[in-house]
Amino acid sequence: MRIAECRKRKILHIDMNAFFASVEQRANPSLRGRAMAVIGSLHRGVILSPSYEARAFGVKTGMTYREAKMACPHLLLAPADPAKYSHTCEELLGIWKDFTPLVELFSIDEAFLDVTGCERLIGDPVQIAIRIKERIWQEKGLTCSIGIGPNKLLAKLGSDMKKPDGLVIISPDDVSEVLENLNVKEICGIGPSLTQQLAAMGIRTCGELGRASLRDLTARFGLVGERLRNMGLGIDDDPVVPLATQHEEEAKSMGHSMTLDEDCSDLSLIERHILQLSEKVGRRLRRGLYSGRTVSVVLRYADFQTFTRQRKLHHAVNHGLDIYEAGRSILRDIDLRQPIRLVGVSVSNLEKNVEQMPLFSEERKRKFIAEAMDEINDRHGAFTVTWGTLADRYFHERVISPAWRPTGDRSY
Amino acid sequence: MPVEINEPITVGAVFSRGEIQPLWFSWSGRQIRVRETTFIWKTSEGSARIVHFSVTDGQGLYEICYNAKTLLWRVLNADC
Repeated sequence: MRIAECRKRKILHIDMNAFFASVEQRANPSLRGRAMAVIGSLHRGVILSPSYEARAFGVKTGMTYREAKMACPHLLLAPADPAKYSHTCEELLGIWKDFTPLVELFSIDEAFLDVTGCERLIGDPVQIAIRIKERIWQEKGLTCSIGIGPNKLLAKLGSDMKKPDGLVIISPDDVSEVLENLNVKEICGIGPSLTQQLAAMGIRTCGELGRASLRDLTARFGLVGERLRNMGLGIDDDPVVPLATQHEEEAKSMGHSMTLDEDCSDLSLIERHILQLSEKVGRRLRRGLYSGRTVSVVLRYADFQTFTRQRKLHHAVNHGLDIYEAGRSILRDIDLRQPIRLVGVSVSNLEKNVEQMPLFSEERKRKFIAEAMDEINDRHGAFTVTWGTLADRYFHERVISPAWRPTGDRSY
Repeated sequence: MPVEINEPITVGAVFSRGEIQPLWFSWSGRQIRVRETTFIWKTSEGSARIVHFSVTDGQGLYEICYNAKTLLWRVLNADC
């Protein structure tokens, strides 16, 4: 993209403020204006989203219940309700699409909008941002911060600069002034590890990063070196990729996990959890016409130590029982040293649209049974028909994965 | 703290222009007038679309839901 074209782009980044907590405050008037937080599970989850009132007391995302209560003893807690948040996200998407078809959902509470060329139709980017904020407030009672810039990098930086309810414009002429003394860690994509490595090279600010020698950066970071220097200069050619295009990307893996209400050492119970997760993964794989050759089991001990073990299979699978068999054999090879807090199952090394009709009648029967079960469960709800072992299955809170999208393979 | 209930209820509601507005519901031997619908969201159960309403009578907060396939209403939880 030529420099003149880059300068002409008008990108908005919208960041919903304390999204989960704000939704719960809208839904429950007694939580409004109070220090509260959404927690993964009332029994033993971590803080997912503190309200701004709670943040003022030092409550942060990722804190345990005990840490949060120490920071703010009068903190109110609301259990996470992912269905509420995903539906709200879909409604927000509808509002954003009224302004431009070029909407890239960055996460459940963030999106990029490319409004280049919309001036004649609906006004300049600032007017568009104000109208979006008004509609979100009127229709959902929520606030957001919006950053406006000539690219995604600067728009995102802008929305991060003023929270809550901010509106920050970074015009092409302001870029060098804004970035000169800005710490590199403020840039989206530069995490703690990169920040540390850059500091080791004497680079702490974006200004320093932009002036750094390309040779030194590529020697240290390879191809990423050039991208890093561009970040320091506020250059980012990445287009806004609309949702429809995002769906076309094929999944690399599919998995589910659950945090248990109580730490568990009972192997038969853990195996039942693996069967339940395998069924969910299998159903999702079949729906997307995927099958996979690698099955992984992730386990988290009571002290949060987490590890993954995987097994490569001779052929690609998408049937719950095949995934379960692989998962169970992985579990049996592990010498559990502590009770388990979280268990997860995933299938990777995926292939799409390559399934063949099984040759042997037993396998064919199993395939037809799975298809019939899928049909019934699609009509009447998940696990309406399932294995007897799962009649007493675990009802765990659903967790929204960072990769969640409102439709397609990632809509679970 | 909300208490899980999940019981069928009788509801008086206005269906207008594709939107549903619950006005009252009978539960536990009394009629509860909806003063404010604080939040609406949708889920699905198989092929059935479920519309959830967070409603308050000014004192308690209730989650009621409407199954668009069976046309049945339920109160899912109450905090009163």
